[in-house]
Amino acid sequence: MKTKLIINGQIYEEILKPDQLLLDFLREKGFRSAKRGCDTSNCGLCTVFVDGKPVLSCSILAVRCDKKQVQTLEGLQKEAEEIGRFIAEQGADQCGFCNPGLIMNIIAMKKEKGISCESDILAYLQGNLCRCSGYVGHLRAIKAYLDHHKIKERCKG
Amino acid sequence: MCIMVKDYNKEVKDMLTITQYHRASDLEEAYQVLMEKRSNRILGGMLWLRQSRQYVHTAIDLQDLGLNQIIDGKEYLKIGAMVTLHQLETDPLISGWVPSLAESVGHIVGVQFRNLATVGGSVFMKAGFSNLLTALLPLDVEVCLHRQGRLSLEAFLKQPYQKDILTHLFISKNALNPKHLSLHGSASDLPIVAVACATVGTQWRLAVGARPARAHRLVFNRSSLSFDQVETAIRKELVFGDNSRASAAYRRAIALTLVRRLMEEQV
Repeated sequence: MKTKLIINGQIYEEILKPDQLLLDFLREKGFRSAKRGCDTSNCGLCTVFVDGKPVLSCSILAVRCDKKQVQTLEGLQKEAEEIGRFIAEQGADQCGFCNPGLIMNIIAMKKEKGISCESDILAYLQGNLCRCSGYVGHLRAIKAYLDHHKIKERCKG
Repeated sequence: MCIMVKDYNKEVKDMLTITQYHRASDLEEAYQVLMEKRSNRILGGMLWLRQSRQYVHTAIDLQDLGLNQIIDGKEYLKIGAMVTLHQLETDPLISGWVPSLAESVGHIVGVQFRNLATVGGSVFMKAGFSNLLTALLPLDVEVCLHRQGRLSLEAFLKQPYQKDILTHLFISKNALNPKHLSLHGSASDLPIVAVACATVGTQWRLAVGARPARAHRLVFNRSSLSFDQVETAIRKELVFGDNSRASAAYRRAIALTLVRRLMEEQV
């Protein structure tokens, strides 16, 4: 099946097998930030954006993304670096395996309306699992990151 | 000592297999392709299908048919089958008229999962653990199927599985105070038991789902409503079962507690 995928702004036109998952296609093309952490559509490690929305790339067929914009962490280096710094500052990382998926969803959360308190953050990120930590350090980092941006916005306004 | 070695090569072959992909340009065409072979399937979000080891000859995608909209009718909300669960959660029409639906899907895995999972897929599966079906059942809901036409959700749930395409849900705006509560082992897991209620006209309706069987509806007279009466009906009319998540007795006890909470909030 001839499929045209736009990954991080670059066009990939290929003949794909109908049951190839987006995750496998991305990894084949060298976008290794997306990973298969659970294989049961639960862990959030394979999070990418399809037309701007965070989705599980392990659970969507690549052919369904024909003519769609796919973004991976490789295409969002500026945001990734910044969020990564906040996470590191809080010492939240342990093995770091879940970080790319988490960072993708933090970027998505920041774009989405109506996220204001701790319970909103926890609800939005409940699909990102970490098996090392208790999420406490991560939550401190995310709050600091969001606060930092609110302050920046206020200065602008 | 015997050591079990997993044959990973074999496992790859045991995954979901799809040999053809068809992106439908209209509903009738999708229906024709669906009926061509027994193993042809309509894709919803594909999240449960993906976990399976099924062989699918042709996977039919409805994403181009404009079924991803929530439309405000005069007396009802018209919800397309391809509306995602995250859309339900964030749509102002849903939170205005039937906030219980938004509440019911908020627990499901994560935002990335709910951006894929569809309303049509959830309803057509008729799954016992479905929070969404439990939340829909107390409301006046009609299911629109391409071949069969419109029928009530209750009638749809009772009829045996047959191939068709679910295109829309029509949710009446006549429900007062629709609510949904569920208990989960961990926040994003499947429910151990789910309850939902709404007042419609002179009726107070209750649905209990994840028993673990499919949600069932009980109807009470609004004017003479009491918890004792509801408790008696739950004990007498609803069958609870055991599975790896919980025992029947535990489910019944939790269901009663959740129903009491629904009723206390209601008054």
